Amino acid sequence: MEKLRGAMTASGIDVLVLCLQSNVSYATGARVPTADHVRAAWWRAVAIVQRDDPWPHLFTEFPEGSPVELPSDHLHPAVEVEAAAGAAELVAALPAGRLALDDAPFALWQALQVRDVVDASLVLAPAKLTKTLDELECIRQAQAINERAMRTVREAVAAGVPATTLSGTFLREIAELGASANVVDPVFNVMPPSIAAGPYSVTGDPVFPLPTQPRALERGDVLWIDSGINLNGYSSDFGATWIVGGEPDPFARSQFARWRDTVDRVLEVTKPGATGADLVRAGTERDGTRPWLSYFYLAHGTGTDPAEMPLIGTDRGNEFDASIVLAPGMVLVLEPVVWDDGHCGHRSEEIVAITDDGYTWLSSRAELDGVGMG
Amino acid sequence: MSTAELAHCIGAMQRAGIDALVLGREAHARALSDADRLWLAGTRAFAPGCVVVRDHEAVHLLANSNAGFESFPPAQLYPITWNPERLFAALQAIPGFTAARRVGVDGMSPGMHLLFGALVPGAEIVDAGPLLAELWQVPTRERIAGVAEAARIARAGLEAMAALLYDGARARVLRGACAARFAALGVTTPAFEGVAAPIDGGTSSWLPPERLLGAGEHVTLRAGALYHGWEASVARTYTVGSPAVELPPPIGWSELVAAVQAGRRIGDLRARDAIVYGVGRGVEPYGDDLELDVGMSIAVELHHSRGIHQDVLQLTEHGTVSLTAA
Repeated sequence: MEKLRGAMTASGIDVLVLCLQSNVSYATGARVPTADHVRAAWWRAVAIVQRDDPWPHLFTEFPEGSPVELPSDHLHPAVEVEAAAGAAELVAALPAGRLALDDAPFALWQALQVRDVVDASLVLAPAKLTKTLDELECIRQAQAINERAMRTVREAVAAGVPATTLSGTFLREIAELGASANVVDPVFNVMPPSIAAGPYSVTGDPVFPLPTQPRALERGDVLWIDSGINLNGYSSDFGATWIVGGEPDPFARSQFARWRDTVDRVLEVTKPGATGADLVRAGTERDGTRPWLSYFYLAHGTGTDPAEMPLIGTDRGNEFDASIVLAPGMVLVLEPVVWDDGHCGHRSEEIVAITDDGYTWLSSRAELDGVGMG
Repeated sequence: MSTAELAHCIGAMQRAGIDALVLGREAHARALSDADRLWLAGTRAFAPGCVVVRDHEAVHLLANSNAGFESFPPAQLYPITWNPERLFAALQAIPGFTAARRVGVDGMSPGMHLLFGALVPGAEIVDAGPLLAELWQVPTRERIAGVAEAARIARAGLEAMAALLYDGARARVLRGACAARFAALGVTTPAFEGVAAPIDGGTSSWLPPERLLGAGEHVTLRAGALYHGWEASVARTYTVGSPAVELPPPIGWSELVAAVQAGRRIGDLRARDAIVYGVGRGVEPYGDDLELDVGMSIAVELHHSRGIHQDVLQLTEHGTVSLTAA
């Protein structure tokens, strides 16, 4: 809250209206049940943050999910902002001052037209960009659960096992290990040897991720894995490449070596003051190839959302990358991709946090056909 | 979506005077495109994930591939981008879109409002909600079969949880068992994560405590599945034990179920203290005045002092059937 209110002061915002679950959780610590998009929208908790009030106001259907320290006069019954009456009720309760909003159901947007509304990213982006030590520890613990569950899943991988059974094992494990929620359908994609052999690709790059299919795995399948879980409001991100029922062949070994080399070159320049462009330069091959998916990034942040700023190596271009200056507390999920068309490829992820003089690990180091060194 | 469903949508747009739809919610995009995109939990910021242009009778979708919905024309896909200028250009290139004078949306943010101002200057931005609600009430064969299958999976998840509801059980272990059961049936997407919540005054009964559940305690289990985008859910209350014993439905339950008939209003059911909403493309909010009709599926929930009971009921030509009863 301190960071958020500081960002409000810096951007001259008096009142913040938050409707997105991850932002409400960030501002208030409130929990809501994990649900599909539309259901979550109807169940949404809403937060109102005022610059001169140390506590946020929370409107929720799930009072037991609110933090115990929240004063009772700041905890309110849910307000149905998806409908005109609820939206009008909320707008009538808003204090005066310069207002920022993250996102709104249309009814709330319409009701807010009586006010000048600016984008809440003015406040949220600077507040969420760097993490405190406590926040970094939350991410580290979330990641530890994610990886530990994946170690169990790795043992279940075999020819004949449906890929969705791996998802089920993962979801059971993270629940038992105490994850607050699963945030993305766990991805266990059997990758094609070549782009042409795979599904239609708008970009010309390999297509990833796709929903996991209930199809039996076959010996030699190359699985690209991606999973994200939430622990007490903080997210983690796991990525790996596994080979079903056999030893990695020389191609897979060389791809992993090149992937490792890319990550290590990037990490060599990863420190406060370095720019996103510096990292992109370090990760780019001598021939100018950028070994990552053109529609994603070399690295992205994580923590308060599964993928958030800083986004490095996106299609926004060099100028944008150059504008990102690494600072202590930033989190980077590095996810290069090595692809040899005809021989599939390697994709793993590693997470670091920027420190005062370099970086520290939040994930295990990736390994070929495994989870990490623990 | 089938040609017939697109025709329904175009017809509804015509009647509402809406030239284009811009939809951010996954269920809406899926309904209009058959998209099979990766499931993500929770709310998401409004973004132009799916565009329908009435004059061209065309659906355009933000996706890098039509994998899983191959009948969707590849030329009508636009790729993931982090670059606002590229997104703008992709939307601008959609035939007929920038000429729209009235655009229906399912959300809005200050940033997106600026984008619309530049993309369709002067266009009136209106709520797509009523139009979508009209579409939900078209009873297609896919809808009826999809909800029925989701119900079968939800029921299986509930039973997997009930089998573990013994003295000393942890709610989160049951949540994991529900997800694993869904996955064993080939479904990895929930309507919501499985819930095992003790009946406790002052709580919503949706967020279980960390403590162990004790023998003799009354606990409500809830399971909700999303099968290819179709939703169904079920809730029952049990006494914890080996085995856990299901409590009978509350007084008034059979009368409530009997009242679920074509021609009755949703408000009539709510007057019996029931929580009622449509199920199909996820939760489909139904107003009090909506009349029930054959082909519709609704979730009906009743609370009593000892617990909660919820089923999905489907109205068929041969009467109302519970899709989630044992």
